This record gives sequence, structure tokens and C-alpha cells, in this order.
Amino acid sequence: MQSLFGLEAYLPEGQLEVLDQGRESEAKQALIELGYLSPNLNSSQQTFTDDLLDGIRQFRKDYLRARLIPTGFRTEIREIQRIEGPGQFSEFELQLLLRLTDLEGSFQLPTQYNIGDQSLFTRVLHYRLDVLGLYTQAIGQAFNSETQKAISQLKQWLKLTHPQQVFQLLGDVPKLTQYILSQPEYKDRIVYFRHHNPRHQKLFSFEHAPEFRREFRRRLKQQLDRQSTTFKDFKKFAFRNEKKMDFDFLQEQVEQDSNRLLLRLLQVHQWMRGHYRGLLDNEMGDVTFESLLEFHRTEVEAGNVDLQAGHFMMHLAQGYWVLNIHYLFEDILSPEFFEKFDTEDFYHQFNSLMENHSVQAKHNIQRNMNEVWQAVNDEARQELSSKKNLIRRIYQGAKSLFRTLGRMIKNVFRWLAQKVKQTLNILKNMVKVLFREIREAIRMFGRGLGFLFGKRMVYTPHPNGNQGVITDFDFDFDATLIVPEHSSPHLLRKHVENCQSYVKAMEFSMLFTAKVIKWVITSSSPIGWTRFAFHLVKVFKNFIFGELLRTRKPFWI
Amino acid sequence: MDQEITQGFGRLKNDIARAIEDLATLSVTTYTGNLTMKADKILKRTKSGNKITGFNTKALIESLSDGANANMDFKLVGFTYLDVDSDAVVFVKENLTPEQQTLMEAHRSMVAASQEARMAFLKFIKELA
Repeated sequence: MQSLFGLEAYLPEGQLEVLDQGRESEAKQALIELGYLSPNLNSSQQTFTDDLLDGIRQFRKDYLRARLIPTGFRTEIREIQRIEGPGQFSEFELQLLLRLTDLEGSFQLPTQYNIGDQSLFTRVLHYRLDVLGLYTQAIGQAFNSETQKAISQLKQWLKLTHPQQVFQLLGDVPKLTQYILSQPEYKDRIVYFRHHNPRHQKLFSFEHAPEFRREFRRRLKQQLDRQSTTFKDFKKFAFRNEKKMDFDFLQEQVEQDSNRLLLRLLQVHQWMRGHYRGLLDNEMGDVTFESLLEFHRTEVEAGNVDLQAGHFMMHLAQGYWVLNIHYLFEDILSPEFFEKFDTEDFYHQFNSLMENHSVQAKHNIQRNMNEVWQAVNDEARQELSSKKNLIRRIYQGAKSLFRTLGRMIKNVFRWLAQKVKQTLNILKNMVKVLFREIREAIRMFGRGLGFLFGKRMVYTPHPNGNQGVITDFDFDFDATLIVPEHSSPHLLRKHVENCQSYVKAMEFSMLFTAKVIKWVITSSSPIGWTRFAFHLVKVFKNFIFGELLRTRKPFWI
Repeated sequence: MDQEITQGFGRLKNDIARAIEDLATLSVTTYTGNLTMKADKILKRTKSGNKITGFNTKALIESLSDGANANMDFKLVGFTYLDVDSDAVVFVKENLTPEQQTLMEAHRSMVAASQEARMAFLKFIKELA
């Protein structure tokens, strides 16, 4: 079986848990990314629902065929479909979808493909190539000549010797970007793009901000080898007054594949960090441009006060712009960004800072978080908020977002308390991810309480619909096993396995629950819901981390 | 509101303490029988009756206690009783058929699962202490 990297946490209960209400949009989004569902919303509601059911069925077929779930759980999947209907997702399925569409190295693809192969893995491969703008065919198509072409192109650009190296890098966008920037032909690159917006052009014009021009050049000198062709060409053809500027040169630069690749990578990073919520299209449209301005604002808020947008991009003339991509990526990919903050740090800091606020401030933060959450839900319901009738594409990975937030955590409270409009995109993403994780921890906590006070009955259904086997554990775990006459050894074995899984899951959930209960009852001050929820997530994450270290499985959140 | 959470959890701890009455012994009982008619009583179904949605625990427990008298055709196959000093009482039905021997294997696995569950419960209490 393919390694699930921690998704086992969703499997051991003997029965897959049905997804909480309201989370279907997350699963739909991932199904669209993997080509199981069309993003075109022109179709009628009826057709869309039929398409959704077809997509879910195909996804289930594919992940079973990919052996991403133990064979024994096939019965549970069928059981969920039978009881809840075929359109009902399980928690495991959502987690799997999120893992498959993650672009930060948490899912490694197999590295061997042949023309005609069609599987869950070819979909993930096509999705990753599509995000980078290298593959334009349908995601669900079999591995084909276009796939090969895209891989060869990337292999050639990156000077890699084996396609396998491409597969490894494709699933980790930060690593891929670092790798690209370290290549000799990219070391001295600058990016040119076209962007026609009079307001933006005026904002960055020489008349409006003359110091930007000088500063841009100074920083470019620091970044690039002054003797490099790139720098010389920049001075000769671009850094001139408009009359002497070579627009053919500029257009040629804009159209270069390597230029487009770097621009796309920048867009993807903005998307992953929650600054960009538009289409990935290699174009510097208003939304992408505004996302760079938002990035700049949040960086300044985070304490990077010397950073000016005019230091990394400059309007040349007639809608041609130049971007100091190395300077920008140096900030985006700074080691502090990757090392300083992690998800646990975020929750730890969030808790500590929350404690320091007044009761009124806490109340405002909570109220505004709820309002942002409401906006996120409204958006999910409307779904038609993007151009071309396509569902808004939102990256659902959490790592980059938490790092972004971690850098500016002190400001997050202020933004929330004061409802700073310019930061709404990032707050929406934050609240969405936070609430997702809080629900996850609450679910585990609730499961622990359920093991303590709920029904402790394990029922294994008979495959033919006859009576199944029941084990009933009482409060102190005395057990009563009831087996229908003439039950097959196979059914009994299955039931024993279910009971063993139940006990394992119980141990995990109850220990977690005990830690939370102990924290609450030994706390010296009263605990509000926000503090409780965030502490729950913190303990949950630490606990899972500890468990995975103990069992030597990779950490997955 | 803040006080409510803290107090609520305090009550939870007391409930757990009160509920732990007998951790010194562990018993596992295995029955076999024909449940054909009774299963409908213990399964919750949708209004149309096509889908099973859960269990009716109360009905099951009632059925079990009734079964000890006359209504249910249950046979006791195995009973294991362990106490804290590792004294054990094991009851096994005599003249087991090959089919019932398979049941005894399941019974033994269930004893192991119950012991493991008990251990998990003790860890839970230790963590709370």
C-alpha cells in the first residue's frame, strides 16, 4: 500500500467518519483541481449535482485502485455510501484530497509512468504541471505526449538528468523555486511584464516617486552581476527614457518561456500564501498586481519597514514593467520564513497574545473572526464570484499561510480588531484554515468524550445484509460479544479487526481528551471559548506530533 | 461564560470519578444465537426503512435481559473473568462444534481487546490525576 503519511489517523476507527456539514466546498474545490469535476458553472444545478456524483465515484475508484486505503476499508466506504448516499464525503477523503493537492512537499508521487497510464497519480501530476502553466490538456486525461512534453521542458529548464527528479520537485513549490533560482541561467534573471492600469502606472511613475527608479537600479546592481548580459541589456534597452527605450526588446523578454515561468511561480507563491485569489494565468492582471501590493503592505506590517514596492518593481513605459525577481524571492523564500515559524508556534503565540488582550478586545476579535468566517461561507455558497464562471481557485494548504501569518501575528489581532480591509484576503484564508483545524481538534475531542460517555458498541455488518456481529463494552470495558449463529470465520475476523481498531483509536482520542480536560481544570483563570479552541488545536497538534515521533511515522500537519 | 467552561469540566471530572466503580475486574461474555427477529428492534432505520442509521442501545439491552429469560435464543459460549491479582475464571461451553471453536478464538481476541481498552482507560485516568 502507498504510504499515507499520517492519514492513518482517519482510518483506525473501524468506520470512516462522515464529513462535517459545511465542508463540502473544500472537497469540491480539490475535486475540481484534480479534474474530477468541471469548474464551469454554466451548467444547471441538476447537471452539476450529477457531475459531482460522477466525480466522487471516479475519485473513489481511483484511490482504491491506487491502494491508498487498506482493502478492509472498502466495506466502510460502501457502507457510508449506502447509509448516507453516494454524494457524502468522509473525513478521510477530504484529508486525502487536501494532501493530494498540497504543493509543499507532503505527498510524493510514484516516479514511473508510461503513455496511456491513467490513475489518481497521473491526475496529481497533471494538476501540478497545470499549476505551473506547463500543461493545458484535461487533468483527467491519461499520461500523454503533452505530459511528456511538459516534463521534458521542465527537465531541460532545470538541467535535470532524470524525469524522476522533476516529479520530486513538482510537489514542493518552494523547493522548486529555490532550485530554479540557483541555476546559472536564472541567477541573473529579471522579469518583464505588461500591465495596463493607469492608476498603478501613475503610482510607480518617475514623476510620482522619483526615488523608486534610483533605488530599483541600486538594488538590481546588488542582486545581479553587473557584467551579466541581463544587467547590460537592462541598462541598454530598458532603463532609458521612453524615446530611447527598445520596445521590441521588452516584448521579446515578456514572451520568453523562462520569463513566463518565473512570473507564474511568483503568482503561485502569492496564491499559496493567501494574497492571491484569482486565476493562475501567467498574466500580471490587476488581481495579481494588487496581490503584490498586499504582500508589500503585510511585509511592512511584519516589521520589514525598509521594503518598498518600488524597490522590487518599476514601470518602464507604455505598460511595460520590470521586476527584480531575485530580490522579491529572497524575501518570499527567506530562511526566517521557513524556519522561524511553524504551525505550533502560531497557535502558541496566538494563545499568549490573546491572553494579553482586554476582555473587550477579545470580544471584538472573536466577533470579527465570526464575521470573516461568515464572509468565507457566503463566498463558498455563491461560488460564482470569479470571472469566466469558474469557481474561485483557493489554495487549501496551510503551511505557507501559517508562516505568513506567523511573521505578522501581532498585527493579525489588530487587523481583526480594526477590520483592516486591505488584509481581508489573508484574514479570510486564515479564518478558514483556523476554523478547519479547530473543528478537526474538536472532532477528536468529541470522539474522546464519545468513547468515555457514548455508546461503546462495535457493529460489523454482514455483507449480505444479514445480522452482523456486535460487541458492547460497558463503562469499565467489560465486554459482551453477540454472534449470530452460523456466522462465517471471515465475518468474525473482520469484527475482531474492527474492535482492535476501535480500541487503538480510543487510546489515542482519550489521552488527548484527558490532556485537554486536565488543562482546563487546573487552569488558574477562567477559560473562554476562543482560548479553549486554540489550546485544543495546540494540544492536538503537539499530541499528533508526539504520536508520530513515537511510531516513527512522518508528521503530516 | 468563561466560568461555565471551567466549571463544566470540573463536573466532568467528578462524573468520571464517580463512574469508575469497578476497575479491579474484567469480564468478557460471548453469546451466540439466532437474532433474526430481534435485530430489527435494535437497529435504527430511516422512515422508509431502507437505510440503517444507528443502534437502539436501550432496545438491545432490554432484549439481552429478556433473552436471559425466554424471548431470545442465546447460548453462552464463553465467559472470562479476570481480577487485579490475575486470578481468572474461564467458562467454555462443553462439546464445542468446529463452528463454536472459531467463536472461542473470537472470544479470546475480545479478552485481549478489552484488556487493551482497560489499559487505555487507566492511562486516561492517570493523565487526569
